[in-house]
Amino acid sequence: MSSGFSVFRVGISFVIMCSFYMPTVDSLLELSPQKYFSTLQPGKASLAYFCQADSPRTSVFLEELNEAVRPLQDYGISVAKVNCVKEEISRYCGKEKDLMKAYLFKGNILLREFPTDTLFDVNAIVAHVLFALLFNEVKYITNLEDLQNIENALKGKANIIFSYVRAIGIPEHRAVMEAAFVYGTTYQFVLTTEIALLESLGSEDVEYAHLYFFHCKLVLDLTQQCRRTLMEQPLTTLNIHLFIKTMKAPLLTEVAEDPQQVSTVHLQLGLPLVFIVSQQATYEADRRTAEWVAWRLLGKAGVLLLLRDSLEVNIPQHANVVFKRAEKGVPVEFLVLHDVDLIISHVEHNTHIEEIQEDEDDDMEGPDIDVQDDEVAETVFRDRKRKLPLELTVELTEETFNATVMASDSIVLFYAGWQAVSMAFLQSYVDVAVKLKGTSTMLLTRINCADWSDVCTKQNVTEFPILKMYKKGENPVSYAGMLGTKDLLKFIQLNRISYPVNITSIQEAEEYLSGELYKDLISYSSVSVLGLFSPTMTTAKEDFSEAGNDLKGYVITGIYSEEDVLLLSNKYAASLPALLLARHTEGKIESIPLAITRAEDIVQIVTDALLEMFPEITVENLPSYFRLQKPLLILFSDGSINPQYKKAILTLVKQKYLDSLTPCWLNLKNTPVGRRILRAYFDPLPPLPVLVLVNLHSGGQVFAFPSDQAIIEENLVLWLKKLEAGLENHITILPAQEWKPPLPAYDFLSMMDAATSQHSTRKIPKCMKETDVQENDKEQHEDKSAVRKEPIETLRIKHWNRSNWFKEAEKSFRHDKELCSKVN
Amino acid sequence: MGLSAAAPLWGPPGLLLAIALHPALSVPPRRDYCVLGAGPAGLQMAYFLQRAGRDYEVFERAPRPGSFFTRYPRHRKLISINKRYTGKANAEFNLRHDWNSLLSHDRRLLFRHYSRAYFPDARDMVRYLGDFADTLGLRVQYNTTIAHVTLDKDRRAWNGHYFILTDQKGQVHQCSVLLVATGLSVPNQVDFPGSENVEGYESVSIDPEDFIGQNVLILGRGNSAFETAENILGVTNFIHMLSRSRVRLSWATHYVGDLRSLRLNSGNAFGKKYPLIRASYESKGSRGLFILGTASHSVDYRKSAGGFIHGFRYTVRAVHRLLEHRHHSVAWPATELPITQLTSSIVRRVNEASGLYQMFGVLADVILLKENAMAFEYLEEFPIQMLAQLETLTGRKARHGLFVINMEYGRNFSGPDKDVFFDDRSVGHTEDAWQSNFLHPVIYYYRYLPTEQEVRFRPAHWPLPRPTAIHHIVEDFLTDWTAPIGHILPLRRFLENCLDTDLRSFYAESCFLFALTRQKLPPFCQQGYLRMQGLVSTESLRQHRVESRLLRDDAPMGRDLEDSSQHPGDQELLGAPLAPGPLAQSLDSNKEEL
Repeated sequence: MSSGFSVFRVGISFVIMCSFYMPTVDSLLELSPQKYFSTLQPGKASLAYFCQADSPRTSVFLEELNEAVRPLQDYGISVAKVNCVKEEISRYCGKEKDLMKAYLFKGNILLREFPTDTLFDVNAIVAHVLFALLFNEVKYITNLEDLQNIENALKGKANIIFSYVRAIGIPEHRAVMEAAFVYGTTYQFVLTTEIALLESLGSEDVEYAHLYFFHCKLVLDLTQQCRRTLMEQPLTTLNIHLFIKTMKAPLLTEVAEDPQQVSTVHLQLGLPLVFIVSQQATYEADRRTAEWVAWRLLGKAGVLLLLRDSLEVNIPQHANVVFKRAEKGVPVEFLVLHDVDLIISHVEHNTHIEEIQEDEDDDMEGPDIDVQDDEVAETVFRDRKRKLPLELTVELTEETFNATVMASDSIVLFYAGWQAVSMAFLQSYVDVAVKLKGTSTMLLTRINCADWSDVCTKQNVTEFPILKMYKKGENPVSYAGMLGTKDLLKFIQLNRISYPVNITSIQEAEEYLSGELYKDLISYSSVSVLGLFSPTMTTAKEDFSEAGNDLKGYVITGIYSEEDVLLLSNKYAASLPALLLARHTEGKIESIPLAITRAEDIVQIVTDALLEMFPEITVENLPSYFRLQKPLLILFSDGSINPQYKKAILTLVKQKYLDSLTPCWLNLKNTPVGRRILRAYFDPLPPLPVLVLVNLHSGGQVFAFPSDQAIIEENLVLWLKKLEAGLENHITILPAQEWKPPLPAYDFLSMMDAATSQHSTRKIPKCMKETDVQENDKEQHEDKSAVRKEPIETLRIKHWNRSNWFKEAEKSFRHDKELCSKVN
Repeated sequence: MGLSAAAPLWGPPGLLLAIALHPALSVPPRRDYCVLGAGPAGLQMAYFLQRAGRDYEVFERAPRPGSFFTRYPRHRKLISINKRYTGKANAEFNLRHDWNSLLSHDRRLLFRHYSRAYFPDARDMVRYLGDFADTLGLRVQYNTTIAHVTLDKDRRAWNGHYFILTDQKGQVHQCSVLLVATGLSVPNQVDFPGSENVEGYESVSIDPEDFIGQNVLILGRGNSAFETAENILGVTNFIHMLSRSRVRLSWATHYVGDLRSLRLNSGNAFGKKYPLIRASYESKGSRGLFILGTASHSVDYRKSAGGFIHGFRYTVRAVHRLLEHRHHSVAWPATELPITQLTSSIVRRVNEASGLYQMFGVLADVILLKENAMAFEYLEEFPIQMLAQLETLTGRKARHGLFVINMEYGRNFSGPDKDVFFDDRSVGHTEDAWQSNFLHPVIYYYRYLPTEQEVRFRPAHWPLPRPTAIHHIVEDFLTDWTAPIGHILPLRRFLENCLDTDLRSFYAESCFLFALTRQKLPPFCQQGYLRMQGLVSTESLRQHRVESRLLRDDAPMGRDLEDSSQHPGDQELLGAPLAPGPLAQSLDSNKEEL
């Protein structure tokens, strides 16, 4: 009996879902002009694209429009394609095919017309339409004065949501408009695309979209500024919604119950709670502290004042802060923190362990496993339509390969057309070809191994990209430097001559060491190496020659072994065999004895000698210093380094204080990514320059030289001693997490199992899968991919759940109505 | 004194005599490898043996190679396609559409230089095989019919015995390994009333005149039967076709031996026709005896192309590789690559490999992971039914998990009686890839090398035992599996989840950031950037990178790290104590089941 009933129930849900799955609902209506105007209802908005039959250029636009049907329907806006036919002439039908436009009506009143190129994708369509409809709710401004006027007008009355987006119609703009659709009556929305306006608010990283909450309602004194809270998450509809929710929550709540039991809206939103423990005696002061903390943590955590005296449960004696994570079942932490900043940093380092529930089954907002998250693949894909000046490099084939590389000195890039890394490097390669155009004796060629796989295999190329140099009479050499324009150019330029250079007279040697001999090359190799040998040292010479050959393309090497070699060695106080190292930028010549003579040792000696004592660290050179496995002592500087600091550090180097470290400096102007590094170390950012010691290879602690001390030798020595004695506290520890898969994969095995257990996979109607999916859901999401596999209709149900939050604006009744009508 | 001087004088001549007599009387000429038959399979094997510098000899009954093709097919048209222009330059890929060429390093020895016809004439095949043997200088003894073969037990022999071959002149050859590539020559004897009137395919008249006005019963409905029927259709009264099974059309079964237009062999009584051999093509009865070519079709009968040139040229190569390891300690050829090349190496093979494509379900690529999964070895075209014995057969180690790359048709697709043109037969969505119907790559992941038991008792209709995880690359009509989102991205996600690592590629700038803000680096940065081979982005790509920040889990590239550590995507990226992903979970549950 009961089983019969459950079958019946499944039947019902099946019917509901089937009737729910009506593909026509989502697709674009196609109407004639007359028919279209008859469908317009008073007060209802409608977007119509008037088009002439079969104009090919509109197909991309139509695809996007089709995609916009569903989101616009969620806002009660209907969308139609109106076919202009000869019999029915409407003034909205353009005269020429190119001039077709989309029109937004409210009732039968025309609100706006859009040329199709402004509606370039689904985001632009939704953003523009909402922007037009919410003309009053969203104020568009272009200067600071406008903003101040609005701010002044709303003080004591309402709060403002101010946002900057780079352009109208981009996804961030859409997100802001969607939020304005819901919250437009509660908050004043202000929008700008002026970067100068954003800068005048003191924002950093102005290249990205920003959203601020201006707390103006609290402000009673008109001379006072509204407090501002910056939303730190990327601008998406969901993030804005969550952000506004936290802004709406009370700033500070007083509680007198077990922290384990307390729950506020923050926990639901996935934010942690911070309890400031208070006693009657210090209540006033605690409350002030708590308020201050609350402002600092606004949007990041909920702050509560916990009254210890009226509490029934015991909390540890000394604890003054209780931290409760958003995840269920994690016990609260009792902390003793004597500094407000420590509370803030504790929160910031411990939040968002779990992604927000709503996000999880949300195809649109959550991380989607079908969305590219490989930056190289994504950027290459985005750039695929740009035409590269490929003609500057010769494309080789199976027929031309051998003849070409035999006929002239050539560089060959082996790549695969479908591989992103190859294609990214191809761009640098082409850049090099542009730079060398007409000047190089080296022929730049490329071969696509996706086409000429056999050629690549024969050249021993089994991975991509590979770059090889073919010179007459020599074995091909694989390029082993950075895959970028600069290093590749250096490699090609330095390879114009062969190494080591045979120097034949003292005078020539002096010219070589002074940089005169290869004037045009020393900009690529700031160091020239000269091996000094007496004529009889044959094996040493051979080894050096081998080393010079190995180093070709990376550094200039020369050899001198004439009878009068002693003149040189005496001059530079070197005993034979020896290396002379001419550093052209510093104008210095050093000598290094060459006791060991194996080629690979010589290579190592030269490589080590190329390292500077106090280098400017860059993206390109970090690896050479990184491999020394020593902690880095980095001076972050905004622009070139103050010579005094440089002097101070070089003095310490000479006094051997820094032997266990790698001292270096970073110019934020040359290496902007350094700013992100600083942000990982500091919060808030200290004034620059700042000196930091990073223990990269053991422990990951980061220590900061006190910013109130001058960077002079004495202070540095003292600080280093304290560090050594373990008397300094680290400011942060670098995360030690392993690199795990960024997202799950489709679990086909489970899908196949599921299909087998149902014996038939093909014949069942799509709706049936609905019920399986729901059962699966109950089983703790054991199979996320099956959830993804589910037909679109389920996603739609979820989509609606997600849009529950629209309810508060009392606009969601429309959905409910729609649902009923569909069920009926 | 005199005596003692005489004895040494007498001794040596006697010894010399014995040595001189022995070969003629009892020790026949000895070869490491003897190949029977200079047809396509025999010549193919001879080629590999020659290239490896092995001691071998081919014995051929006829005066020239490929004697089969001088008589068959009786109507002179081959059924193997010779598509000369595929629109692609990739030579390996083009072999997918060249069913007649043998494998060699010599570009001139491609069949497209011998015939322009899509279904070429058999005479061109004879000419081709002759050139193949001559150009490559293969060692073939023509006009030598091996009358019988016996085993001679000898503990010193590679396989515990020698094969003693006796030819029609009574000449004896001793072989360590015997490779039989004689094709199939014995038709089925059918016994029924009137069977005395039966004319075999091998001798039936090809002149339609001979059948005028007769009632003809054709036994079998294979390609030969139809070939014959078609030939005499115009002149006979009735043609009855009779066979044990219903007509099978190859485009419904994907089996080239089913009716296409013409076919070489007769009958379908499989048990009698094919010898009993292992999946390594070695005879079950005598070690060291291998069956090559058409006769080896029992391994994949009715499944793959092992009975045809375009199939057995690859199985012959596999046998040769097995022999190289067994007798010469040459491990199965493998390329060792860093893990960052894993996705690419699979994409490359599935897009161009011909052996995988022709011998789907029989030969598969195997990826053997190295410790910590930082590198791997790539082995091509291993006979997958021998997977459990992989270590002993190849000399490679499979201690840290492995992937098997196999090509498969959908389980719902093939089979007699199935309508291949049913409405939703093609699959376009990645998440439905497992339902792909056309030939598509399937990747199996095993934490441990399966055992023989597991291979033998694998689930019905599975080419391999149940893996820890499986991935299907969604079918593509042009067999082009290079779409960044549709093919490569899901493959990477699968590999990442199997290996529990992050296989994305990063620009040098990102690696720089990671190097200074994290204690660990992703493999791409470790194996590239830190070795001073980072990928530097160009200005235009940098622009796109800023824009692509819209990506949900582009978190490490987010505007600041503090920010990104709060980003949901980042948490998964960092492997924070999140609930394990769905795949990881199901992997565990699978383990319990097993």
